[in-house]
Amino acid sequence: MKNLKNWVGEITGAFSATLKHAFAERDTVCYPAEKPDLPERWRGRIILTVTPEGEERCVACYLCSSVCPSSAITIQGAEREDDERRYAEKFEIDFTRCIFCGLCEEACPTRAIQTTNDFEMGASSRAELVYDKSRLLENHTGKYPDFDYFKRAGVPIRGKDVGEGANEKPPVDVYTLLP
Amino acid sequence: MGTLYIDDQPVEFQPGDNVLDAAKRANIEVPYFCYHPALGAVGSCRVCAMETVPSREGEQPRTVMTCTLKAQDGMRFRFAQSDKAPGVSKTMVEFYMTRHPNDCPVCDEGGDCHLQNMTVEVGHAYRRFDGQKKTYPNQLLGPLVWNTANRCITCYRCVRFYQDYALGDDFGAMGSRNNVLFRRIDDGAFDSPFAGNIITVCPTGTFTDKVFRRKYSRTWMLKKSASICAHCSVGCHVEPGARAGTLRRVVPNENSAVNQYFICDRGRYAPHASEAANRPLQVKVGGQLRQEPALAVLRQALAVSDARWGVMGSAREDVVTNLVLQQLASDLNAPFTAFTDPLTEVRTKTAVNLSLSAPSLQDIEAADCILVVGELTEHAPMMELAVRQALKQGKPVMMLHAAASLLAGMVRKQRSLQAQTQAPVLWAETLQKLISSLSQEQADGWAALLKNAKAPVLLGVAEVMPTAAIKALAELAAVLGEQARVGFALPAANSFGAAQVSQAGSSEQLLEALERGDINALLVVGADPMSGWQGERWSKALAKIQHLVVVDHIHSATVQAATVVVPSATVSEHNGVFINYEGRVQSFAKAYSRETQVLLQEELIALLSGDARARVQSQLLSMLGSVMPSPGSTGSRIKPATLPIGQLAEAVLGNGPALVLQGWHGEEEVAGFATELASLTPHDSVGIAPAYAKALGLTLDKNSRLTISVHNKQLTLPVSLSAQVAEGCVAVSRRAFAELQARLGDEVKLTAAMRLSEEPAAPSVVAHFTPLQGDNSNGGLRP
Repeated sequence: MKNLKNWVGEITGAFSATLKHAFAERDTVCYPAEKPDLPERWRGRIILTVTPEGEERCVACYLCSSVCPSSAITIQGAEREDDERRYAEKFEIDFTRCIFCGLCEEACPTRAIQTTNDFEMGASSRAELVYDKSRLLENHTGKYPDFDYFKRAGVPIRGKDVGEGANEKPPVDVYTLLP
Repeated sequence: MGTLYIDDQPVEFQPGDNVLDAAKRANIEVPYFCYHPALGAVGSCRVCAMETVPSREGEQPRTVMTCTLKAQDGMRFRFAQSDKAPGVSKTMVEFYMTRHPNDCPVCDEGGDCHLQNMTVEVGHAYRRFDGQKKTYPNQLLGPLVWNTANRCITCYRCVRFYQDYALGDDFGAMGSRNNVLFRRIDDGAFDSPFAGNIITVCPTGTFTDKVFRRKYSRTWMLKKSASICAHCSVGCHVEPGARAGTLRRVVPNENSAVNQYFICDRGRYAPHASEAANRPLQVKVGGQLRQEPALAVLRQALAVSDARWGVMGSAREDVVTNLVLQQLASDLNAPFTAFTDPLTEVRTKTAVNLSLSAPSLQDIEAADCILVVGELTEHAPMMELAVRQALKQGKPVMMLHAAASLLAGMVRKQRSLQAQTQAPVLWAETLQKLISSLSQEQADGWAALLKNAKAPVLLGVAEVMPTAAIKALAELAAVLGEQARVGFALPAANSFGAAQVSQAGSSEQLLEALERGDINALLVVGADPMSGWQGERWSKALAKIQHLVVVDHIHSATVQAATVVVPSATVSEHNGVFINYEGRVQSFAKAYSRETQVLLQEELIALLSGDARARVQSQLLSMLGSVMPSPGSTGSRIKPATLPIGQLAEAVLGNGPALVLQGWHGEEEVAGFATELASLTPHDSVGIAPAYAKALGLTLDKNSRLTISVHNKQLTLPVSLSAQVAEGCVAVSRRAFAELQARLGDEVKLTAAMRLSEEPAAPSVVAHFTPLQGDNSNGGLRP
């Protein structure tokens, strides 16, 4: 008797679930005609962003390439002529190796490297999937519209001398003996 | 030896250790900033705190700074178990961090930073102080060192190295109270040849390597190896770091019996010659670049039918390469030498024969009386740094020299330093006089100092010392007895080894064979005969021959004249063995491979016949003993049999002024191609003592110029009046020697030339760091 009760219960339960879902709203979308609605924190195609002033955020600190578990990032820093601010002369992400783990974004102290919710990266050759800087750098601030690392770092750059940063006192007068 | 206890764990210590040393030896991670084993303890950073354990009734536990406590048997401390000590360390680090900028991502020290490590170690993670950060102006410190003053934590390590250890005086603590910062009075490059070490001792990114900065890479990404510096005969242990097939930086390799913690600026920056824009990196045959592999081209070049070969090795290439070339020469039935200049060969071999008891750098530091003959700073800077350690302790240092030298310039500040100028031809006589006055009952002056010393050290510079003076210096050591040690700074990194493989008079024989036309083809590996002391003779002789095959890694004059150029590896790019000035055999290991294929010197052995290969093996065994030292080890010293030396006439005392070499501490055959270092090359000038100029009837001031005439050649240079130049001598640079086609000790004629206009001020040799102006494309050394 107990078995029969279970048997009927299972069958009716399963069929009722099927029936319910047959008329429920669909989660699947008709991609590519219809685009999926992805959350902001989706870890898709990686980009390099710029500061609110439009300067490249990347300072070639090598932290993203060091933390990358699949060694997909290759950087070589160089220095800007006028103020010796370092930037990435070469910045390459090999998306055939990238596992979209987002560790690079977490490691980035200047919020230059960011993941986006774009995943449409199909290409017809492996070489096309190695993105160089021209394909990575985008002219917007990404998820952090106000962040500018150099305003807070203690090094002087173009337009900001020693002691002119946020939370900094003017430089001490080396020659004074006054208290 | 003894035992102390930290957290009840027994810790063994060595004599002379402080508690911090002992803890570090036992791998207990005690934080510290200001302590450095070579610079001693000052206890100023207050971070290496531990708590004492009361041993008697009624005693209270105290928090102490372990670096300032001498380790004693039975001492007891609490470190991790202590309630107070970690809090002290953490609070101190928090204080330091209140004004330390948030710039680790753009700081070159990041990842290799003592402050970063210690901050993580003590557990300070969040800044509680929300006041404003103090800032400090940066200073431009020339092309080698980069300054970011905000990062300073005032540990005083830089000043303690620069002033107290290296006895420099153009850099120090400036300002007062909490405005203290460390800088030079004026912007510009440092005067000291050891300034690069403040980068190494600085626990933060306040001083960083400017050359490394230009091609920066995080230190954990660098390929490193235990290597040996190839830029003088001291053979310091260094660690080159490379990435993507290019050299990025060179730092001293610690824990060695040779140089311990430091290297000189030549050793730190000269290896960057490997990145010179004009470095040969591709095989060139008859002026045409080829894609073929280097060894195949070399084999092809050696197989030409009409050639009668000569082979030249080099004192800056390693022992194995020279042995292989020697055997290659015997395969080809060709004369072989590892020297470019007969006089240098004789002097080097004489010095090598007499170097069997040469003092190590530690011996020099521990000496109680030192006699230096020649300009040691300019030829072997690290040897001179060891002399400075003895000088610092007030030990008498005597110096006999003929041209301006940084060591001699310290005579005003160091009371125990005595410098005497004299023409090199007279040095042997002076030393003989010293020997004879030693035998007298009442020795005085230098003789008395040497006689009373328990561990005297005599140091000479083989390149500029006449053979008689080299012998006299060794004789002086013999007369002083067994406690005296004599050593010579040799001309190149492997001069000792090169002397072992060359027959007596080999360079003269090769040169004569070329001049007679007995040989019409020459293989040169790692040498630049055309810009050495015999440059003119070599250039003439080599112009006549059909095949000049040059294997090298610098764009030297000989490479430019070659018919076949084969690119070779620098020291950081291959494995090998150097023998330093004391006969210490030291191996170096390859750090990286270049992206373009260059010939590794160890591949040359493929050119040999089977018999010759066996002979190389057996010779290497007989020369170095049974065990090859591993890279990074301090190696063992060999005591080879006395080398036969040919006869050679040397310069004699003339009536007119004699030419002497005005060296510079950053100068070396390869170093001239390291752009940043070479940019500091002093202006060419003619150094002359004011009194001697007067005696010659010349009225000179800082705007005068002199024309030097020798062998129908003339050269007009600005005058540098310096009392450091000996009477009877005029001091000129290597470049001027090459231009005049002159040799050491040549007699010259001086005539006054047109004066310089009042501005710009005449450059002087003593002002060592005026940057070279104008065209520097040749690397700053060669004409």
